[in-house]
Amino acid sequence: MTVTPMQILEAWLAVGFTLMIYSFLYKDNPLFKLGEYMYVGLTAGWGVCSAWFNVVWPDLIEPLSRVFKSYLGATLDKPLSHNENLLLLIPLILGILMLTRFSPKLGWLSRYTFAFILGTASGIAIPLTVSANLFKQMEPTLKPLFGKDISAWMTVNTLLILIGVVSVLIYFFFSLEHKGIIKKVARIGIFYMMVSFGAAFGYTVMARESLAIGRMTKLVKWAGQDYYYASIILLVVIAGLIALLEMLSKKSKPADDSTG
Amino acid sequence: MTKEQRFTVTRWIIFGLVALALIIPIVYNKYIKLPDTSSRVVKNIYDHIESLPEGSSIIMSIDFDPSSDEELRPMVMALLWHAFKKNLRVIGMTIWDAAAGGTLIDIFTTVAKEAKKQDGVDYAIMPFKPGSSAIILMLSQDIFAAYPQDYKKAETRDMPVFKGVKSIRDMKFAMCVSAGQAVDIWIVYGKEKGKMPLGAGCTGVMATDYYPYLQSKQLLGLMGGLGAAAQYEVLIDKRGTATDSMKPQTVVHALIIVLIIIGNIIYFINRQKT
Repeated sequence: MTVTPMQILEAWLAVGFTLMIYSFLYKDNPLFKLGEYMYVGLTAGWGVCSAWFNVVWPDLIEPLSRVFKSYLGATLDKPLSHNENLLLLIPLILGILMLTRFSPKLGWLSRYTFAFILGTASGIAIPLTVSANLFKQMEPTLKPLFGKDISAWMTVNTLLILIGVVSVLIYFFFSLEHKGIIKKVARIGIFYMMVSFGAAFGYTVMARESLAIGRMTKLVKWAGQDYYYASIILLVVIAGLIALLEMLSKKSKPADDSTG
Repeated sequence: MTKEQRFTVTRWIIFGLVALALIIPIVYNKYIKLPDTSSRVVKNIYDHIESLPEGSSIIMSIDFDPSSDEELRPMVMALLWHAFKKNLRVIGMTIWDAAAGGTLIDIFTTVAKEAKKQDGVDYAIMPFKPGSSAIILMLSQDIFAAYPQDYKKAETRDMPVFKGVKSIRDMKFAMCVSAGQAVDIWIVYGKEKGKMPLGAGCTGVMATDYYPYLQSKQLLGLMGGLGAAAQYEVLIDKRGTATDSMKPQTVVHALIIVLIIIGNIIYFINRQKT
């Protein structure tokens, strides 16, 4: 396999930043902070560029400029599509109103944009969400227990779901004091939730391990000769730097401690 | 040594053990053998893709960024490889802006190159459009209104890959692989309006949230985390990154179980002492 100089540079950068972030496992340190700030800064910068080049420019500025050019009688390389019209001024104005948040005097104007977003989003979301997350979710609890095509396991499954839904709902029913039969049913609800939390925890452990495995696999790969032993060299360098910073901070500590 | 110092040292020992449990199986991967398994919820997706006739259209929504790449990329690569092997026409899209660049385009072009598939004929990649739920609603009405052009600015109406397709209602399958809210959006908007069979892939952290949708048949199948990707690789008989990753994962799981047991024993001993 031939490794290009760009791949080698990428590997060195990736190894450097991975080890900087992992150095937090030892303790919080300036190298971890550098890696963290770089990550936050790059993500924010990338987000702004992505929004501009993928959305604002191709979907708003460019079509609007073509619309104005067409009104001014300029020749266009291709005819206007049905999406290219003056209606685009509405999102432009709403977008500009959003930016008035930066001005204490004009900030109230942004409420029009928020009102538009909330109004349309609620109108679209409420009926579909109620249908998908309430009515459709109720169906499995209302299935018949016995019938021609219903096996014994399906009956057990439906019963388990029914008991689970009712008992967990009763656990969160705070209008009644939890004693007597209510307490007993609520306890079954707790049991169901514990099973759910356990499954979620197991999956979470697996997910975090998966990310660590991915990183470790790359670190092992980049420790090879093809990448000029990036992982090994940078591990030594970063460990050395942390040790040096630790020594320097320990030297300056007695003076600080004497004041306390 | 104070109690706090003992705790710090113990923490470092655990980190060290986990690091070793990860690195050793990665280095000696070929010497470890694990049995092939697949769960019903993963196999449902495989069976559905397998049952589709050649030339059927499917849509894949890739909604994760590099921070979840290690966990979800193997899943998408396996699914896409299966779809290409079955000669299905695949539309790739995203409602997550961070997936638009490297993730979506890189995965599609890599797998398509390996499977010798042609852009615009066998598959198409859509550019990112904001408005997640609004985009999916548009897809349920008119796919060309949502995506008049692909990511290379080519007109989608002229592409052979879209032949006979007007909306997601014409799709034989939709698959959303997400590290965020995209699966919920696809269930609420895509499934409700499009009525097509919907499958979901998600990070392990999110997997338990979507099991209720399997019971209600809103989801055809579910792939949760790297384990599901490994199962899919076994089903398509193309073992790759996910299958290899199961080896260190198994070792670390065993280590964590042992550590939990030791932790509990120490806790009970300390409680008896006090």
